[in-house]
Amino acid sequence: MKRKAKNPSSQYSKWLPTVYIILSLAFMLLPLQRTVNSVRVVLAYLFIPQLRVAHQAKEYLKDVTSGTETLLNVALENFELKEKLKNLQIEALEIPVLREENSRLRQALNLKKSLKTTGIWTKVAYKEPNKMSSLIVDKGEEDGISLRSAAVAITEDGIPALAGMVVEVSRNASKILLLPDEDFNAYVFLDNTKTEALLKGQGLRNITLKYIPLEENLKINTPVFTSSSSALFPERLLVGYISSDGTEDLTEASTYKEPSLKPALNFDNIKEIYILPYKEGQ
Amino acid sequence: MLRFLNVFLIFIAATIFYWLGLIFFAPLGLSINIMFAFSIIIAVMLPPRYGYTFAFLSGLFLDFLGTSLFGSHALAYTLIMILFYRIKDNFEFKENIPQMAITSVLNFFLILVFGLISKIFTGIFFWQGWKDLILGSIILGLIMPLFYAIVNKFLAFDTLKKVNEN
Repeated sequence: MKRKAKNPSSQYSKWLPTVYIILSLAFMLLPLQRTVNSVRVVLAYLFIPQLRVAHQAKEYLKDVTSGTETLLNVALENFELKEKLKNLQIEALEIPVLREENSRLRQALNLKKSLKTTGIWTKVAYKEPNKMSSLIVDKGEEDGISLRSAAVAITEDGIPALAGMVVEVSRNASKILLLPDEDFNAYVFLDNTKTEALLKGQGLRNITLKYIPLEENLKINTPVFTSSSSALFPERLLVGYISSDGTEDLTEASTYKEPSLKPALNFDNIKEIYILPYKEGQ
Repeated sequence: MLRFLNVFLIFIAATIFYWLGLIFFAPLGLSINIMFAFSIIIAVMLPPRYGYTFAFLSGLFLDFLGTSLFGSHALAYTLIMILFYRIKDNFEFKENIPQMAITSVLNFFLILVFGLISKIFTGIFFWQGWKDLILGSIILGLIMPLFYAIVNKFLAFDTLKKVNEN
């Protein structure tokens, strides 16, 4: 009747629950968390397909972060390169202007030699394009510019020519009265006959030569230079070219010819002005 | 050895059913102790050493997969299995109704014992909720005959199945 109790497997079956309880308690009490976590990961991977799928997805997407980062870096780099390209394009546009300026400055260096005098180079800061009777340069009294100084500029052919005269000086700027201004006067002479005349601005870009005798045979494009009679300007400085023979306005009462003059300088394009030092009675 | 292999296969089958249970019942907010159902079936059909071992390993399996205190499932399963062996002879487990009733009641106790163990060892009563406690136990009881039939069929040729070591 109780034969089963004598069965050895039945004997240890009685102890089995106790063993398992002790084992369970040991698992709970012993610091096995690290080992358990490792086994958990393996089991989870083996037994739960969802986790495997998730792991595969993670593996698939693991490069997404670095890929996105690379993409963002490339986009940023692209943006920066575009900005650089824009700046380079702007700089490239400036190159012809700089070349032109360089050329002018080279001519300016030659001007210094040809004039044999030490003046001051200034940059045009402001001018009124419609009137072209005066302009403002960026240097003034502090730089040694004084009133009534002669203002010279370089023609498109690289020849120094009279631009005007300093009529106002402040600390850091000066006003130049240009040849076409109505208040501008200068003694000049014609290159071929050496006949002297008074150059007078007429406003609105017009310049005339006064007091040329009627018998004077004027030729178009005759160069006109500053005269030694002028107290303000150095001698033989190009002023312009005769553009009419002066006969068109002659009347019976006329005693002199008054031909018009085309200035040697294009006042619209002047960028730099060379101011000569003013010396009384030069 | 053959029996051991059979039990091992049943264990693998139980884990598969456990996984299927997760898929089907997790969206409903239910956690069904399918591993426990298989433990009871093994305890009914095979000698106690298999029943205890199966229950212990099932608990350990859940401990490995879960995040609760490691060993708590194993202990709860072992304790409930002791209880089951105490009452086993009072019921005719081959019938469907006793299967369902005993499984549901034991699952009910299993949840409470598990919570109690958590309370003792961690200070927090691991409460799975009324839904798991009542509905989960009822559902486990309802599907128990199906698992029983499957395992019974599987072990039909096991000559030692009907050996009663007690």
